Amino acid sequence: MLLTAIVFLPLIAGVICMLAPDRAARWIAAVFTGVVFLLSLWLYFGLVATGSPNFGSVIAPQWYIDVPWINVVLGAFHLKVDYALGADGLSMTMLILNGLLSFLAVIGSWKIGKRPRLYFALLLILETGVMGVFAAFDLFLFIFFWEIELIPMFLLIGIWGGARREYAAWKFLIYTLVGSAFTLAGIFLIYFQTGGRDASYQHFTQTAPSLTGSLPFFGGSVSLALAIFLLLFVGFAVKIPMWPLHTWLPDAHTEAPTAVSVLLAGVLLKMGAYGLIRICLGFAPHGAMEFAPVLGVLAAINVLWGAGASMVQKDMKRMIAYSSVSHMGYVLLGVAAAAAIGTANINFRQAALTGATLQMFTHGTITAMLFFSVGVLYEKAHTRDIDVFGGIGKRMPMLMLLYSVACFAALGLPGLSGFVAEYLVFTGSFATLPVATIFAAFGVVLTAGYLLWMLRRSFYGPLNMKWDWLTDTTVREAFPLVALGLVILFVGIYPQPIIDLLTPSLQQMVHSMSALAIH
Amino acid sequence: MSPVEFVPVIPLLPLVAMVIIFLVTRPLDIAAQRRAGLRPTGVSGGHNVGGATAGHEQAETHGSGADHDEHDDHGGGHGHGGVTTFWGLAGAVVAVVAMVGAFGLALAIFFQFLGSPALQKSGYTVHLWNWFSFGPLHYVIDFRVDTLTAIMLIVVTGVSMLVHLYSIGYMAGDLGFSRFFMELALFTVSMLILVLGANILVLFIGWELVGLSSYLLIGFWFDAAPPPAGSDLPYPPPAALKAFVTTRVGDFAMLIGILMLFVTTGTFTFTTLNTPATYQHIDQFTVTVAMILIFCGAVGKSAQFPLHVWLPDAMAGPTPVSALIHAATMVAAGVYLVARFFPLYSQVAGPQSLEVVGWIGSFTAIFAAVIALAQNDIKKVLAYSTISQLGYMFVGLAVAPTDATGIFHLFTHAFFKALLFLGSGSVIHAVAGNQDMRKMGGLAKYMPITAVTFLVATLSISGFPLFSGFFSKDAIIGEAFTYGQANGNFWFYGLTLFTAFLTAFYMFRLFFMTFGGRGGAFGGFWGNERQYRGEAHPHESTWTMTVPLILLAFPSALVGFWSINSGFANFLTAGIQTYDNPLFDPLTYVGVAVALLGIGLAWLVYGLEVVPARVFTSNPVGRAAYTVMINKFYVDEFYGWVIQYIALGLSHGAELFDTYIIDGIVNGSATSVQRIGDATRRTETGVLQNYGAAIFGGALIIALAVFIATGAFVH
Repeated sequence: MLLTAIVFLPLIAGVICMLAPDRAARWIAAVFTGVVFLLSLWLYFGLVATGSPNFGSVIAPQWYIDVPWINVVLGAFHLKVDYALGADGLSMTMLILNGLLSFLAVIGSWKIGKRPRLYFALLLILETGVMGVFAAFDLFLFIFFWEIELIPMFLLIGIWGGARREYAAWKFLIYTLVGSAFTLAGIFLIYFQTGGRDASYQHFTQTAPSLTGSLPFFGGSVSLALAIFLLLFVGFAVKIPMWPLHTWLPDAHTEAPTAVSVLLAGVLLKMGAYGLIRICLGFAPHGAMEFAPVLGVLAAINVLWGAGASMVQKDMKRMIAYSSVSHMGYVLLGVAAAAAIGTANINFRQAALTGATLQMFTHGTITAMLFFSVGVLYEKAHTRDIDVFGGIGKRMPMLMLLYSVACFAALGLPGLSGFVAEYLVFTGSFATLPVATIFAAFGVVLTAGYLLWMLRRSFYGPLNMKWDWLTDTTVREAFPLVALGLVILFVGIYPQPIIDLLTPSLQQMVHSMSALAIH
Repeated sequence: MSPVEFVPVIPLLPLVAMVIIFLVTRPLDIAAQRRAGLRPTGVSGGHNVGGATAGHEQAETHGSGADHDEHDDHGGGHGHGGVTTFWGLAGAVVAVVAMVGAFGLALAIFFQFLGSPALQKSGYTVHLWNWFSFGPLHYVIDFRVDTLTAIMLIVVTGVSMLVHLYSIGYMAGDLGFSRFFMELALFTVSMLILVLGANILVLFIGWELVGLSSYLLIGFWFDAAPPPAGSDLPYPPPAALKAFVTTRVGDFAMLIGILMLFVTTGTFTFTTLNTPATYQHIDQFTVTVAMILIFCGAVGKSAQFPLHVWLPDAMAGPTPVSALIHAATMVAAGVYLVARFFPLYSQVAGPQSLEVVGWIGSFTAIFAAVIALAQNDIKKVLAYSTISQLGYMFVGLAVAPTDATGIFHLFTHAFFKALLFLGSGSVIHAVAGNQDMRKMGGLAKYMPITAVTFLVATLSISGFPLFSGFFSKDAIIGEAFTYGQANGNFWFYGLTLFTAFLTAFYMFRLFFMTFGGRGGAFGGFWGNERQYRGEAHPHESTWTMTVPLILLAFPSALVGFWSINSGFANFLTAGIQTYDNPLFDPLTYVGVAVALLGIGLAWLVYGLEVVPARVFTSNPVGRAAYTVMINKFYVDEFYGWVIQYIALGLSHGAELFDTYIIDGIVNGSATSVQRIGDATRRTETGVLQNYGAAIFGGALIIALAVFIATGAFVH
């Protein structure tokens, strides 16, 4: 019930928003997203309260609910979709992250002037879609929510975006749609190959890894496991985004309003990473193992390519968008290392996968903080051009402090959460993919370069008198920044709770993979 | 309960001070400054900064002068004209008290170690908290005190305490006064974490955090105006960026080294890593490479060639920062790192690893000393001298059988170099912010305490007999000779010996140009107003600044005697006696002669001025050499070129590839889709069903196409 409430409460709130007066919409949205966030926390603390918490894994999820929904039989074609929701460590962190960021996004959108009812309603529908993706325990339900999320995001960019919003919105839509078509094909493939009677995660976890055989492919043949992996992966790769499928992201981010960028980078990219880990790695481990070396190379390219492109951006938001490409590369690296075939100790694989998962969470908070910071500046100055500012730290010391915290977290400074995740990924992945890790690790130099160079050009130096009138953050503007900063600091100093939360589900995954490797 | 059990309190004290300043005294300080009209209100939001505050008179009168809200007039004397508020001072006092407590505890721990050979051998580990574990792979936050750490604790807390005290005077009146103490405390905490770490994880955390504090403090005057074109004054904003990114290049290599050790041994813990038995089944080559990579981190942090470029620029920070971070403690962290892994370097890894350390160290020592000869900025000379002395320390680690030789020089250097920097700060303060020695001279009469203490430190760094630098530096030169006898490689000996001559020369050049000059008392040592070439009105500094100078002069002169009868080496290595006493080694006389030669030459040229300085540059060879030296061998220009054309070039390439190749393909194929979309588009009407239908319909069609194409239906 709890998960059902978390998934559908935002939708109900969205409907209420549409019916309410304009001025009430933001309050409705704030209250409901706040309640949903608290409920998502209860997913965690409700288990902690039991004394000896078991946070569940894919075969034994917590808060599980399973109701038959669709059951169509057309001859040999049997389509069975269950309304199955559940949570384990992997999804719980994402649900909490989405709860937090959706709430902060509402706070950050307080001053939205254009059609506020529709805006907040769409934000809430988006939250439902994303929550559904993370909570679904049925593959068809998963892809259903996956597609739901597209509509509000498309409209949010298309209506409230910047000058090139229509181009950006369409680009986002078409990229994602084409990608998810492949994923859908992959889902059909794995569904029918594993009996075609059950689309639950537990079913795939048990049956899919033993799939063998191969498929004809343009005259040659490709192993079934790899085909499933690759088809499923295309949609996720677009979402993550993985080079070379990443070019929708800078446009979407640049055009989207602040809060939408926050959600886009903070949780929507994580849907791709979540899909990669939960579905590709979980249900097609053989394929993942075959593909891992390539994935490692792509991960390193992601890190360096994104960082390089960030270096030469003139628009702050575009720079941060590219930095997301770079940082999501660490997630890919961790996953690749966990799957790569090698002699390395299973514990290194688990470290890599845990690092990748932690990176999903920390990148969500860090990049959200970066986008909120830019949003504060943009709301006042109506420009995000790095070079037109100069010395504004003098007028905005509080923003400078908070923005700097976000930048240092992003460049992996110890004491802040980004370091924990990156260090964990590197220590794990070096065991199986040393060369890719060396290249990816060079990203830490580039990241420091572009972020601090940006700060130096905008905030340091003598004040450009054109910006003499700028005022520092208000309490309302600082609230999301401080809240995220505290989360980043806490995870950076004491990451054990979140690691404990992740361990059962990732351990199950790594163990099932290493059992396969022995065969 | 013994003192060592309280060791986590040492970093906790400055941490608490930092939090108190951040949460309590700094907000109150800022509020008080606003009330006094020293700082714009910020919340008023108008164009008239600060104008909204009642009762502020002088800020309005100089128009844009009110914008000097973080510091007043960087170029012309820090702090003069500003006021330190009660709460600013309160925060500083909290920080100083915390540092006194930390230093007291560090001393207690040190004496506990000194009195207990058993403790020297075993060390003391304290477990703080877990990050996480994966099977046998533990990521834990542990502290460990051994003899090396006990010495580093003394150095860090002692110098930091004195620098805190000194800064009350030096930073007085700066509007960022509270922020300065907060960042200074942050640095101290970070440095203590670095030296207390029981594993590489904790060390690396401290290592990166000192990098952060260094960045913040170099960029302390973040709103400073750029220096006039043509001047070589450092400029804080780019200097901070350069320091962080340059050291990060070293950190990157260090991280790879750490990863190599971790995946081969499965541990971060120093005690396990430093046990040769751990490497029974591990290829020696792997360890050698890992140790060289870890040394790269030290190259960055300790500003060794080729990553030395950031340190001279780091002089853009306030001078107390240069003393604490960029002379005494943080830059020595690289030396500490190598010493921390010394058993690995000397016993497990191949000899190549320490050879690399020796070559980098000895080359850097002479390279930086040569550049220092031509500098006229007093802090730049000291910066290059720091780089050079750090090179000595690395040579000491590379050539000696234990780490005691290198670490002893770290120990003595911390005191005399901190004293030199604080003394130079006192001078800069006295001459209204000028750092150019050509506009100094004869200052001894104006500021006798500064001059005497400065002379002590100068004698010490030059290796004048019985001063502490003599004991530590000549031991390194002596060990380099012994090393040469054993290995046939006398390069380290030759380079360090010649550098000793250069060091004595440029340091006394600095002393004469600043405090003395022709016609001063004692043959030009003690100058007076006739030798003064500047326009300001020099004066002795306030007691909070002179007391630290005096307190540092004693160790600068005396700590060397600890090495007699291998006292220091015995302590550090817990009984494995190592290096010979330089006092009774004939080689020592070579070092002393070389140092005296350098001092003498500097005296002739800059003290007595019987040989004019222009003899060096009056011939074409000298002029060419001088041009190369003053331009620091064009290393900065080379890096600028690499960044400009290679790094940014590749970055532009990546972006162009995205825009024209990837998006070209995407847009090309999307145009046709978009045409269909255009026909049915209802963006502004927002009819969700249409989008839903289109999206699901489209997705399903594509999915089926892919599905059939792959023949997935065929089982």
